[in-house]
Amino acid sequence: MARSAARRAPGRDVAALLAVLAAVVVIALTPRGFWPVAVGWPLSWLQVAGAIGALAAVVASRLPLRTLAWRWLAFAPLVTLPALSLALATGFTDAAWREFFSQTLKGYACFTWVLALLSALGFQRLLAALERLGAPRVLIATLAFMERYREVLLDELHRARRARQARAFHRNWRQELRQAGALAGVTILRAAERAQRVHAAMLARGYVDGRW
Amino acid sequence: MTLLAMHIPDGFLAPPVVVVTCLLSIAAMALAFRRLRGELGTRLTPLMGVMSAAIFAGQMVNFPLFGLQASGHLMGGVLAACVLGPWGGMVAMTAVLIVQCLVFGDGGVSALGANVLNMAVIGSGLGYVVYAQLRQWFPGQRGAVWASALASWLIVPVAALALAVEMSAAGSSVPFPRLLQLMLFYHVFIGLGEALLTGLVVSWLVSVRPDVLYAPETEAKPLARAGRLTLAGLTVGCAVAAFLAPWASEFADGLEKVAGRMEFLEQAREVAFAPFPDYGLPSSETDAAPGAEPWWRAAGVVTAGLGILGTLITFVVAAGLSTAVRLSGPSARVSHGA
Repeated sequence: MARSAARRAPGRDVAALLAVLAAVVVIALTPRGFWPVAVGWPLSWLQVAGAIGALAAVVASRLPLRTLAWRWLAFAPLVTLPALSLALATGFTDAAWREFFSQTLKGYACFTWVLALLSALGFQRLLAALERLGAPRVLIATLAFMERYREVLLDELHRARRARQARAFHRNWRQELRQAGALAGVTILRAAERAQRVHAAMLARGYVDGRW
Repeated sequence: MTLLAMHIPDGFLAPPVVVVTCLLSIAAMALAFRRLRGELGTRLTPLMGVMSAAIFAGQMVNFPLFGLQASGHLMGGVLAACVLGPWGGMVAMTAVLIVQCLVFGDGGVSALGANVLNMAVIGSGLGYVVYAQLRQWFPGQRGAVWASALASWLIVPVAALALAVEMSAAGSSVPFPRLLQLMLFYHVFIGLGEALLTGLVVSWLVSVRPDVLYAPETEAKPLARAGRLTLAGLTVGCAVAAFLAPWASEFADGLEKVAGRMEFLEQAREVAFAPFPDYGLPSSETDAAPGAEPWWRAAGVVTAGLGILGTLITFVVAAGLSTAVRLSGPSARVSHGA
């Protein structure tokens, strides 16, 4: 984990990462009124170009269409709700709806770029590229560990949940709430113990002072 | 605890806000890593990595809230800090935010700095400061439960304030008072849910393995009667301000409607000192445009909002000043099992 992240990333990966970062920055930060698509629109042709580029990139990254569709669907509330709350704050005028549409488009464009990058590189290579760009080692190693144990802990959680469903009948709302608290608590407790075991295993394999 | 939580997507922040929040977050993170390396040594990376994964998994637990079908889940900032301490909590939340951003698009890449600032630095780091202060006042295991719940409730509106400032700063088209009102309105409820869930998890942890909670060895200073009264007053004051601010403006809306129906407004307009001469009825378009907002209404909202935030910030700063001294002492240690 920590070791594989420390492997030097090829220049190609770093270039891909930088390109996606540049695209996201352009899409997210183009100032208002710069080359607008129409008068009164808070959307620039640059951002439209960025969105088209995102589509091209995600096609080129060979992300399966099904995955892409699910990711886009799951992303919908994450971008429309904040955009909607801004429209709620300004009042539902025409300008607010234009703002809503532009913001949704920008959000989707940036997310699609990130999807393309992740699909092309995968998480570990992305971390290696980030490290070569100078991200702190501790952060990279933390992220590598997290990615490694995310699925493991989620699996544990699902097993515990299934066990509870199999055994606990006639629950009322208060019991259910308490049990959910216990479920989250046991996940944290097990993780703390697992971290100890992992650390002991690392020491046993010669991990000294942040290095192998 | 909810969908309407505070992950800012890409394209919502003005460039200066992006730069400033990034710098602030990087500085906070650098500080956190330095402190942690001293505290934890080689245990740092596995502990932070696995615990971040645990926070992430903990966010997937659905809680049946208020007996409804709709259910909430933890955000976990204060919970992370309760287990890992302020610096560890910040790092774990940051890792969670980065993975959420990269893998699920929850929060934008360009907004990562702002999201880290709101949810890791404020939500976890500052949340811990409040928690630690409350824990000194309420010692014992039950005290830990109450302190964690209260801290998560108090810190959510503070994070919502930061969010409102970031989203409306530097030439954004969104009017700050309206956004603040909206954010405070639903984040008070979010905060209540978060407090309930954090309290539930911490009470389970305390009853099973109290040693898993981060415990800097500070002396408990049970609150005197006067202090308890102050705290109760503060809490009630915040609750009232937060709950009544939105209602107050609704009430004002209601007044307008009644006034409009009774044609008071027509009369009012003819009064010499009419403060808003070009005022239209609530249904007209001018009402929605930010520029045409009647000043007293905006001012009322701002007063209410700033009232509660002033209370909270004063409290947080005071608590921070008094705990910061102790946090920096040599006795701060993580106690994860023996």
